[in-house]
Amino acid sequence: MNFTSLVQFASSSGVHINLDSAPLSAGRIVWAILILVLGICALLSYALVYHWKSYGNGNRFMKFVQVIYFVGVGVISAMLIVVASLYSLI
Amino acid sequence: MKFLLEGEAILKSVRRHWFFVAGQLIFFLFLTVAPFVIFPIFFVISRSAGLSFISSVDIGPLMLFAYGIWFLIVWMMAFTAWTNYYLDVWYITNMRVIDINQSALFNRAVSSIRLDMIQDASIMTRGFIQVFLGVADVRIETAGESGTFIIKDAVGAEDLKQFISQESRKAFEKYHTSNIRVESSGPVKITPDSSPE
Repeated sequence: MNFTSLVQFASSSGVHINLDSAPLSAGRIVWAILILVLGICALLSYALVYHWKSYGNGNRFMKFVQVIYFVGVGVISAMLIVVASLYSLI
Repeated sequence: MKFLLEGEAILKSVRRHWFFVAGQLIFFLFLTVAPFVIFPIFFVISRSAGLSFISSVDIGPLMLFAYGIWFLIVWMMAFTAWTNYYLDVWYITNMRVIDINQSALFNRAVSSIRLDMIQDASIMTRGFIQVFLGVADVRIETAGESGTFIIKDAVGAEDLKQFISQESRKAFEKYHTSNIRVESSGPVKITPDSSPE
């Protein structure tokens, strides 16, 4: 999907964008969203790990949950980057 | 653990019944699958509304990207909910009952009462869910200003109540007998000592 397609989509939805003054391309917007979401994810992950380490007694079950969490975050983040790259969104 | 005193050991830890976190996790599962229902409805409505662009351009990758972000957010929210559940705990130690109230990720309150200050422990069962799950609230009343502690939705509430009463009695006897000394060899005179050993 290129920027022109996005503008067509926006126009059909009732949003009008002036092509000459638009400072961002679709790829850059997607890239910015990805950075923002991954940044929030990193912050929240840090907060969760802080809680697990400080108050979680460090038991085996807690470690198991941490592994599940980070595997999930890793897989989803990788999927996001791959999808964005493969389809030339970035 | 940070909050334990010297010589203090945890005898029992109590959490709410897992059903209460399972309800939240099922909600997050619903949020995970919701886009698979909402996206097709969105396409049907957009076609019927004459938005020809959506049917003519492949927006699959963009939808997959949006779903990935949605899934990541739901994943983090689910683990935050589980963390709040898991860290919301009551500890019964050999000295105190400690109430750790973790209501949100950065909202945590720790309070405690001494076992020898406990006057009464009782059980309250409220509502269908508690009866159905076999859980109850354990209410602990103290003599001091600490007031009342309520251990909510505790599994095995009857055993827990017995355990707290038993440990409280032990702590009371230990604390108060250690502060009594026998004086003289004549008639036995028992004087309570004001300062604990």
